[in-house]
Amino acid sequence: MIPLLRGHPRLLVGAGISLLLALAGLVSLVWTPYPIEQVVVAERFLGSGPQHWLGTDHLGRDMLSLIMSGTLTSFLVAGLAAGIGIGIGVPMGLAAALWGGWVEWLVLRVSDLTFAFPAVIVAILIATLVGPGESNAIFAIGIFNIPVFARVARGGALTLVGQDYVAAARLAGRNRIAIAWLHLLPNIGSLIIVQGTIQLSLGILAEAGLSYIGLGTQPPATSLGLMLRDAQSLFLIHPWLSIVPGLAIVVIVIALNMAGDGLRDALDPRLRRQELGHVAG
Amino acid sequence: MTLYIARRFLGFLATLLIAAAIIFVLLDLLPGDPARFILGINASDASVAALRTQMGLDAPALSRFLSWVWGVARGDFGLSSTQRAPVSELIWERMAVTLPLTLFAMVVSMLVGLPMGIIAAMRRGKAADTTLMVMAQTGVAVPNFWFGMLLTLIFAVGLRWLPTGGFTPWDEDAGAALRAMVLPGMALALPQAAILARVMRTALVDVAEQDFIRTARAKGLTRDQALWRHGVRNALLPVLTILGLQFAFLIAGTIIVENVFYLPGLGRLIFTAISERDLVLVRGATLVLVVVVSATMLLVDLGYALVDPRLRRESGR
Amino acid sequence: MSLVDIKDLRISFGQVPAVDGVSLAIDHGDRFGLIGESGSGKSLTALALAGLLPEGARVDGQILFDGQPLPANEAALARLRGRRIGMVFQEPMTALNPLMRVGDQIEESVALTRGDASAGAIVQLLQEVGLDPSHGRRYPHQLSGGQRQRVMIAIALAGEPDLMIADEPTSALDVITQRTVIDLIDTVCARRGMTLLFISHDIKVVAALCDHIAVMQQGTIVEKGTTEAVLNSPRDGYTRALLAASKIPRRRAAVITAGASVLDVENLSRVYRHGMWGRSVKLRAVDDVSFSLSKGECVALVGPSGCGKTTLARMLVGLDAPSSGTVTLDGEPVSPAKMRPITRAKMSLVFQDPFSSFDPRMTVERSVAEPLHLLRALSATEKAARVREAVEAVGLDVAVLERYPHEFSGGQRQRLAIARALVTRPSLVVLDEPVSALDVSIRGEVLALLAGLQEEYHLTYLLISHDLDLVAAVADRAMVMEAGRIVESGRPDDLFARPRHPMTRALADARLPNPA
Repeated sequence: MIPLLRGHPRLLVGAGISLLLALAGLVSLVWTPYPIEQVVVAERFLGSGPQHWLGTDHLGRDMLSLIMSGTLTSFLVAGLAAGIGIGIGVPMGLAAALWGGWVEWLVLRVSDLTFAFPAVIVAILIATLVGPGESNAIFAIGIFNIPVFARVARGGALTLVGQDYVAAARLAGRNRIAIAWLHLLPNIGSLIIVQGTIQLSLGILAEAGLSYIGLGTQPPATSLGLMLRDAQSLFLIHPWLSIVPGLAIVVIVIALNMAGDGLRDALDPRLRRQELGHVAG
Repeated sequence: MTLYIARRFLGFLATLLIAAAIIFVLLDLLPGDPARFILGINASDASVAALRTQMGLDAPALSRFLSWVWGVARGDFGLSSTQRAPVSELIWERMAVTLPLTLFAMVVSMLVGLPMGIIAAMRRGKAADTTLMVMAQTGVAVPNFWFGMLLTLIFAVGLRWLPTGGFTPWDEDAGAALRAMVLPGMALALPQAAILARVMRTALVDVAEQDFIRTARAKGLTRDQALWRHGVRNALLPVLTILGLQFAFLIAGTIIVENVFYLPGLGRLIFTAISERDLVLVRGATLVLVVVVSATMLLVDLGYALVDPRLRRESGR
Repeated sequence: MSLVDIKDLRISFGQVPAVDGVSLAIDHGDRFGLIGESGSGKSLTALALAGLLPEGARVDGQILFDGQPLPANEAALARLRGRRIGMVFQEPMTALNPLMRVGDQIEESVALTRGDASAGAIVQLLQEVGLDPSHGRRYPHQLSGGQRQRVMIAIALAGEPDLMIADEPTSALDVITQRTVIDLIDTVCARRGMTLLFISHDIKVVAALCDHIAVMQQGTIVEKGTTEAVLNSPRDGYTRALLAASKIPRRRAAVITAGASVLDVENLSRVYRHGMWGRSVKLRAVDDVSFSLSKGECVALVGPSGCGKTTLARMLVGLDAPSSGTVTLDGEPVSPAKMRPITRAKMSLVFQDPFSSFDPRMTVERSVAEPLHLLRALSATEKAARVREAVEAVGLDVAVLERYPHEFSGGQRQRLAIARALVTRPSLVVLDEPVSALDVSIRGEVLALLAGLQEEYHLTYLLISHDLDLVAAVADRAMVMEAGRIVESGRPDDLFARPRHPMTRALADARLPNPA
């Protein structure tokens, strides 16, 4: 792990900042500078200062505390949604690559169908049925992640099933599930990790959007998108309230994307082999 | 070729039918009694029964689904229970804002993103590449609705060039309507342009390493000429897929960005419908969105067949 | 004055030198062959000559083309490439733009170098390389590998170049096509008085085509001279090794016990369907094939690419299901669905490509041991003993077992692949082009190993190969396949000396003379 980081500064910086922010979010579970539910009307709209590093909002709540807690929500929602995508999408993709035929057809059609339902539409449907909420966002983003991972897994697995070692495993009497587990999964692992990082950053953006329009996280819980929603009606007069959570989102997403790009460079030996392949011979 | 188109079109219709079924199950069957759902728990049994009759809920589910689909096929989406107006009319009115906004954003994002990606790939490793990719890396991370807020602060509040929000219908003042689209369009387009630039760059860099670029150079083209004449078209294939997905993102994005600019688009209609439990309206609006998204996917597939001769043969035989 | 004069060329990537002080001169009208194994730097030398090195390459030394140093600016270099140098590359599939009709690709080349691109000029070029004018309207994917390589040659000829550089132009083609492409290059060079720089790992091809030879090894030229001198009196040890390796020692004929057949194939067919909705086209990949193999025999299966060899082999080992017909091994039926593990253990397959036949994320030990999964009765200790025995049998140390595939050379991996094939003590081993992906200098060792193992363990081999010299040297019997059918079989020497079927004759005619 350490030598992996050394050659890839982007990965180091990206993963470092992402972990730091996620940690700050985790800390908010046990400690924040001020309790986030503490409404002090006298102290509202304070700018940045020694008492409140990032100022206070329209209810006099400490912005730094809100950001810490909101970051946790963002990571949690995006992380669980990525988990749904990996947990369902990857097996789907592997099955499609291994069985082919009607299984593959079905997986591809289900993917197409799911792509026709962007997260917002799923969130609208769920919100109509059971009302808005965090789990609504997780579910909506998660559903959108499923075909993404299914395609990545299928694409990765398809390049592998033609490899002779998969034929060798079949000759050795391994069934398809064993082949998927022993040979395919370890070899597409890096692809999945890289895609997971990308989906995590997309999930954070999507969560912000859904909470902003009121379909995601609901008060008294907080998320970065919800902070923007609260600031919406005030942003012409108090732009600070919108700028801070927005910047927080930008920083998290840039960090995650840098980590993802760096990981791809570090883990995907095909890129390096391709360059070497041109040299060989 | 024709077989390919026919097959894709049938697939498109099948997708729509299944999507309609999913929406129908979610909104008409899962809530139990839609009439009770719409009127709330405190409604009297008599009024629920009356609404049931009015909505035709006494018929079996399958025949209700079929009559809905049949209606939609003829452009009849039913009657909104809260707005007392045909759903198709309500949606069409709002689409006059949402669709032009999406298309505007799509065009801008392509005009900005594709050249950025091409230039970055051609100047790979040079200062121009680094600068453009740092810009793209940032652009990708910016939530479009937040970007809209920043644009408002700068161009509407600070410079006073454009309105902060609101919308004048096209037939009243097309110029004002257009001006109302500029900031939300930019807010939607620029983050997407950043994505496109990254995808375009990666695709062109991949293509640049392929043998046929070397062949083109061996023919007597310089590296840049070879990339331009042979690389870009090949690199557009993966970009096309992203363009299709992007339309879906943009449509979803307008629903969110409308909020920043107080635009009377489809999003506002849907949110009102959700809060008023207008199932017929939500059902119609979500289906329209799904239709638009799937239709884009279909167009992308047809575009593939147009660009890639390998696809034409594989399926056209 | 020489057309090409390279002095002390050095090419490096980062700290790694890939070409290390190469000097060579090619005179006008010469046919110069550059021989070397993969990674020897032969392709890079040629690419440097055309200014097409990959980015990040550092070049030192001097390259003179017709007395002039190569221009430094890309536009002038591009003009030189277009007008005076024509190039043909190895992979005809990827070397053409997939989205453009091949006629347009030839036209582009003509327009770039001559200014005018009349339809007549393109037709003329197509005809010169033996294609029909109608081929110009096709896309690359609608042409065969050989046809694509002809298109590449037409593109190279468009500028009426002084020098043609052909970089392994035939190694991706099957034997028959290879011969026709070599003959075509021979003809156009003679007709146009063109200088040729021909790069290959195959000493036979170079010997057939070139009058001068340089042998490269690890970035340097170890020997050069006229073809005759280099082939008849090689001075360098590496050249001698290459020449020796191209001659395959004959294996002793097997003693075959009559009636003891190991494998019986009866009326085996495999039909693929293309298209849909009643318009389906049936493709008989394997069409009513019957034969049997006796214990201890080595039988070769030869034929052009696409003749069904691989499909047949996959059915024989139970990877694919036949559409009709039966395969029996030692009296037990072979089929992917209902094969007993014990039957599976009696047969194995050695793949062509030693690089893709091992899972890169598994230790070699786990990969070699994988077939033992079939023998459930064995204890863990017995399994470990089997793995050790197999690895020692192929001449490797058991200490290598903890390593990962990328730590081995191609030859070592092929030994490991053989070890994996033997670990269940099978009676039948199918060898799918077992040495064609290996460098020439190690083919001999692997073949000797296979011959030794066959005697020691009384193995029956089914050898799939396109190399008739190899088949003639090691096989007891050869079967010629065409379009899914076995069209002729017999002792290789008789078969190739007196072919009766046209396909056998085509294969025999495509054989290149042995250089030594």
